[in-house]
Amino acid sequence: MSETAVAACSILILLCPLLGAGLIGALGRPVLRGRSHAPAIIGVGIGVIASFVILHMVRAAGGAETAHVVLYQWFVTGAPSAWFNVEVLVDALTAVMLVTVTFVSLLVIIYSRDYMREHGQPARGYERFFAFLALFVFSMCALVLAGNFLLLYLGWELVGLCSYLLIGFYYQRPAAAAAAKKAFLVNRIGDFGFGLGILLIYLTIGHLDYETVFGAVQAAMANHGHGDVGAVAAALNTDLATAVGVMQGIQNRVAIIALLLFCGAIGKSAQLPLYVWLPDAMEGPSPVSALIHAATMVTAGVYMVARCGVIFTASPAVMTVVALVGAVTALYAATIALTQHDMKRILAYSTVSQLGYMFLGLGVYAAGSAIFHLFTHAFFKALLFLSAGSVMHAMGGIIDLRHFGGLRRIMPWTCRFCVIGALALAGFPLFSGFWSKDEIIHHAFQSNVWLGLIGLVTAALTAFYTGRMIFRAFWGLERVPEGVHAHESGRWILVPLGVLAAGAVLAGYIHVGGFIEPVTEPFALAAAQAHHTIPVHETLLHAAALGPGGADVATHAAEGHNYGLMAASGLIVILALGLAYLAYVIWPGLPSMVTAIWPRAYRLLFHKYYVDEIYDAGVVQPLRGSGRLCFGIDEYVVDGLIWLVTAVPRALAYALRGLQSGAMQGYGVTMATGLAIIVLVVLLSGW
Amino acid sequence: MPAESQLVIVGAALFALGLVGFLSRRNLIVMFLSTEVMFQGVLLNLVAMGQIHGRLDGQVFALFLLVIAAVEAALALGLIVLLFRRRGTVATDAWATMQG
Amino acid sequence: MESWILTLVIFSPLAGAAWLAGGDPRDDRATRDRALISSVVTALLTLVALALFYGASGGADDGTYCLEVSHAWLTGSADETAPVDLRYHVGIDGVSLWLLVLTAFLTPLAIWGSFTGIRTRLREYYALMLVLQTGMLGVFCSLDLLLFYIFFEFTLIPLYFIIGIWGGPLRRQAANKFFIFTLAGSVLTFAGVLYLAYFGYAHGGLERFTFDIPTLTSMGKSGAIPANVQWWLFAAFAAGFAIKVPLFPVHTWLPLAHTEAPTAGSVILAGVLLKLGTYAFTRLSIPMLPDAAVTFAPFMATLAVIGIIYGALAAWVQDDVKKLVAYSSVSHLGFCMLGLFSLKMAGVSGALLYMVNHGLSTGALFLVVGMIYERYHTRDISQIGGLGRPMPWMAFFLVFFTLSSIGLPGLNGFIGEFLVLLGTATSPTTTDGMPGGPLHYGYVIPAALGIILGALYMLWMCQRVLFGPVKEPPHTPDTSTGLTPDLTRREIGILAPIALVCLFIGVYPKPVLKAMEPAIALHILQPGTSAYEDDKMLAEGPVVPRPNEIGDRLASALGSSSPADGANPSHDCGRRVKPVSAHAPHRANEQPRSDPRLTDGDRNPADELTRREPPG
Repeated sequence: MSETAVAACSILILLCPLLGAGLIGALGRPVLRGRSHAPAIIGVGIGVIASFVILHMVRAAGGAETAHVVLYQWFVTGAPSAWFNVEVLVDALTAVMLVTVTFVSLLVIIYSRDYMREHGQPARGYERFFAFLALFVFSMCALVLAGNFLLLYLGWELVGLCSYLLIGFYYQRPAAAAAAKKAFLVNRIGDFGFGLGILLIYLTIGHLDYETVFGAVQAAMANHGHGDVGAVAAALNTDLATAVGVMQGIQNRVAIIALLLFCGAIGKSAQLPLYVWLPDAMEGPSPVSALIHAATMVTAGVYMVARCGVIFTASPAVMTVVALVGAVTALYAATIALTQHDMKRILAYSTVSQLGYMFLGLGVYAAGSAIFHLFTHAFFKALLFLSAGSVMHAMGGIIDLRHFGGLRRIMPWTCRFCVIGALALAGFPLFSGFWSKDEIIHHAFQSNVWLGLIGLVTAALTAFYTGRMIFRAFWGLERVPEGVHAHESGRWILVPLGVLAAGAVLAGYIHVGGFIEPVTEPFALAAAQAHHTIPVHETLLHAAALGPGGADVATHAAEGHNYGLMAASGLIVILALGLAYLAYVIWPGLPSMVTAIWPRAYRLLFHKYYVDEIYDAGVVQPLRGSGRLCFGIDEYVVDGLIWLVTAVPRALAYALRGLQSGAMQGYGVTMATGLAIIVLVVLLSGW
Repeated sequence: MPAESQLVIVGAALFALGLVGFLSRRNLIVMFLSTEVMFQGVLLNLVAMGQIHGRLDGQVFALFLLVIAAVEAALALGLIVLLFRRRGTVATDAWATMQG
Repeated sequence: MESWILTLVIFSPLAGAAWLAGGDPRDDRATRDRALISSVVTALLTLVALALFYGASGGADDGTYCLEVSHAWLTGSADETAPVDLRYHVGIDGVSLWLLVLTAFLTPLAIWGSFTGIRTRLREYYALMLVLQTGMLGVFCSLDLLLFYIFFEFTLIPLYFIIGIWGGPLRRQAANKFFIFTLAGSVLTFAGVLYLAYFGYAHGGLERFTFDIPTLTSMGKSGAIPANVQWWLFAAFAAGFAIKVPLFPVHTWLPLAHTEAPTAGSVILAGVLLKLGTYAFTRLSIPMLPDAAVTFAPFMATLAVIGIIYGALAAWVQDDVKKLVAYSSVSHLGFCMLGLFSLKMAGVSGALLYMVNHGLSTGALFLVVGMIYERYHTRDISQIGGLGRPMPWMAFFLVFFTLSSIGLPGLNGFIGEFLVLLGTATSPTTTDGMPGGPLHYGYVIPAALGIILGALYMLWMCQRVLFGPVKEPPHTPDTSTGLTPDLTRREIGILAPIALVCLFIGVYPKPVLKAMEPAIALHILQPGTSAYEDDKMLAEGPVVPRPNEIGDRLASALGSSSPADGANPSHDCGRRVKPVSAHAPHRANEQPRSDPRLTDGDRNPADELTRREPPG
């Protein structure tokens, strides 16, 4: 890869959306108005082309090369290690992420051109919307392209800002404003750990650029954790004595660093316990939900963990935490999604659940599969959200499944695309989600039976709630909300949907995991190392238990193809979908019977385990209380103490004020007397 | 008795007279005149001391003081006129408002 | 001739005030215009000074003082060698440069922003604003301690009147509280100033009873002041400066003063006056009393951290927008103090940058709040809401400056915040060529928590003011003074330059930091001992730190045993390196020193010798 070409492409990817956003911001209201989408589409379009060029360059270089380009010096302070550059790092992972992000975003922006119109007229805030979208794409690209942790943090925060602006797009709706604030704040809580992690990296290693940091960590953790001083010194370009210290520091702290970084990932990628912002984030317009849930924002955490593989794999304990958080979140969110009535909310919980899969994949050292799932998920989740948006558009802004149904005939194309997306999400055999999810479950089984089982159960739940959503929306009795003239959406909406639908089917056949193997190598290495070996007989057992093919499967297992598992999960998905069909099309009375049997469980799920309420009572209110306490201390304690101090002169003054008669001669007498006394003293003492 | 000592005594007497006048009278103008008398006593002392020590500083200082006294007199009388216009009297009792 | 530019800068507002006072009292328009013109002229003169600073030999490169003027002022005799030496000594270096520029930049905007808000006694108001500006500019330029003190205290008087005459309903109380608080502390500071000068003359080996800051600084840096004297002096200085900052728990004057002050008063108060405190710590306490600074650092940093969290929490429960921003200032200034007392290049330069950033973003926030107030005559959050619809421009600026204030990367606030935290975290290390500082990673965690809380209350405020359904008090917005419902062109013209500067510093802060750095290395921090440490490390192997301070337990829990993370902090602090001669004459250690950034590689042997001298 030529550095110049990489630099040129990176600058294009970053600048074009940013310029587009700036252009809309400056000219949107006075000049562009209804044409405000054009700069965004053109800017992001150029970004897509440049991303593909980068992908091509990485492919041409065999995927193993890394280009590191310094664009300019950002700021400097003190020693050379504290000179922070604006730099980009491009490798296979970056290329895949860039293509995913820009491509899906472009489709979303094109879709928004019609979506943000009412009766053909641009809706209020049309310009603002596209400016923010373009800014969002810029932020995400900056995050992906960043060549050091500080720029990563920059992109990280900018993405949070854009989500804030876009979720709160309908700012006059209190719910939207609250959701926006919640998103930003919960992200900030994650960023708290993330920022501390970055500072700890700097404190330990003295650098923040990826290459040095990863090089040093890798060297320090080489030789089964005993480290290689020479390699550390070489990575840091210092003498051996310094390197010894740095190495020890890394060995001592790498787990804490990884955990702190993971805090950021939890916040950004909406995992337990910081997932609460994501379901609310669907208060924004549907394209925004598509953007946040599919291509940008939430994938950042997964990307970051994959990028920092060296740091994460250095500590098996942290990897276990990652895997557990992922698995539990996947299951947990899926159960909530079972009971929701709001189409977008179901999708939102499914996103949380799918992200859980990705972290599960990362945690079981299958980073390639996790990124693969990220890639396929981007297509089908964007497709689903945009379809839901199309439905919502047609229903006059109503998205609650209780108010409409049987839209199959009214919106045939939307229905078809939505079904494709749902099948991909459910993991229906041969659709993209099937391949990527299956890989993760397979690796999970390799790591731990329970993790794998959670993966399978979640797959079943996913299939069921997806089926429930689809069948309720498009099958059954035809119902539309009163006073709404339901209609199929226009071309600007359907064409992006079509492209995404094609992606949702075909993305599973692109071997992303293999392509980014050079980048995810740390995971593979770590998996191969002593602290993560799965006894062969165990794998054999699984294979035998899971299906026909027995031992034959086991040999394939190591390569990520487990046909038995594939068959099993495919079967489970089909069964779950069938059950959904039974419950919501054939025998609509069934669900209410089930809820009647377990009313408490139903209520618990319906109220999302009361987590929002718990957070409010357990965190927000105590904090606010302590705020009032602080203010009270200010008003009464501190000022009271100061009043006490000032009371001394005040009391003195009160005592002495009697001497102030106001009569001039009185003062004169006092003065004369005093003078006389002084004179007498002087005379008598004989000075 | 040397002339210098006599001067000092006269100065002291003037000062004492002025002080008594200042403390005993209620009329602002008379009080002001009393302070002037005290002032002249001090002046006389300065000149006498200069003479005793054989230096000119005392006389020079006395000249300065004369000028300052003139300025001060103008200012003070102006103030008294102002006060009289306000209350129609120049007795100090009328102005004893600054009590604690 | 060019050396007189600073004098021109300092006193041009005073001349402007005189010009203003000579105008027609009934012609309000002319009064306003004259005030604005005068402050713009000062700003232009400051730009000239900036250009000269960069043009001068040294200033921007090696950190020495530039554009210096030093004249005997009150020597007590015509004899230039008389023992008492009070000088009119002004000059700037990278430390004061940006604060000077900030002052010159903010004042015209504050004056411009008062055009519709101030309706009575215009001449007095604008004259006082200009007089205030002279005081502030003077503080940043002074290189004589007494001159510094005079300007420092002088700023109180105009602001006292500005708050007391043109303020809100509780203005008298606010003005009195403000004045008495700050004055009470300053009196102790004055005692400290006098004693420092006396000490230099009586025991410090100085030939004259001098107040010259460079002389006293080199005396302090040379270690000529014993630790217990430093201790008392530091306490005396801190008494005045900490109130000005304001540091927890002596911050209670600030919310009231901010709430009651007119908009421009708040802008100047938050934008510049609070920086006088932190600047005084930077310029006086830390370099002159280095040992005491190390001793006091954990204490000051603890107060700073408490202030960060405390201010943030208190800000969150305010209903008065101005009070909210005022408490946010308490929180933000805590960051400045934290960075300063890391005694690290990153921390100190971060703190200085933070001062500038805080001046910009908080000043702008007060301007925005003032603009809301002029239209709705209330600052009560519960009475207004949804203003994003009627006032899109205002909404843009409010969100922008909120983001700048909460440290969004890409805007100015972030760089300062990051450097402060970086400096605090790396305080015990010696990798940057400076001796290990007194703070450590344990202080970073609560400070970072403060960042979250910062986002919390600022966004809460934005949400309440801008979002949701429109809520306006009856009979508003008040457009009787020629205001439009949304911001007027004048108001946009006031806010836009600040926004642009914020953006610029966020995207490319290097020039600002670059000018600061050599000056900090030369005037503020102690020279480095890294070579010594490294040699020792080679001989003895890595030193395991001994947990000895509040947060150290945490640091050790994080497993610190690398030299990058420094040897024993207290151990390092003890080893203050003494230059060759203890009683160095004026500017003893301003001799050419190799760039701190290069000290790792090429160091001249003679320099090394002085560094290795054992601690006395």
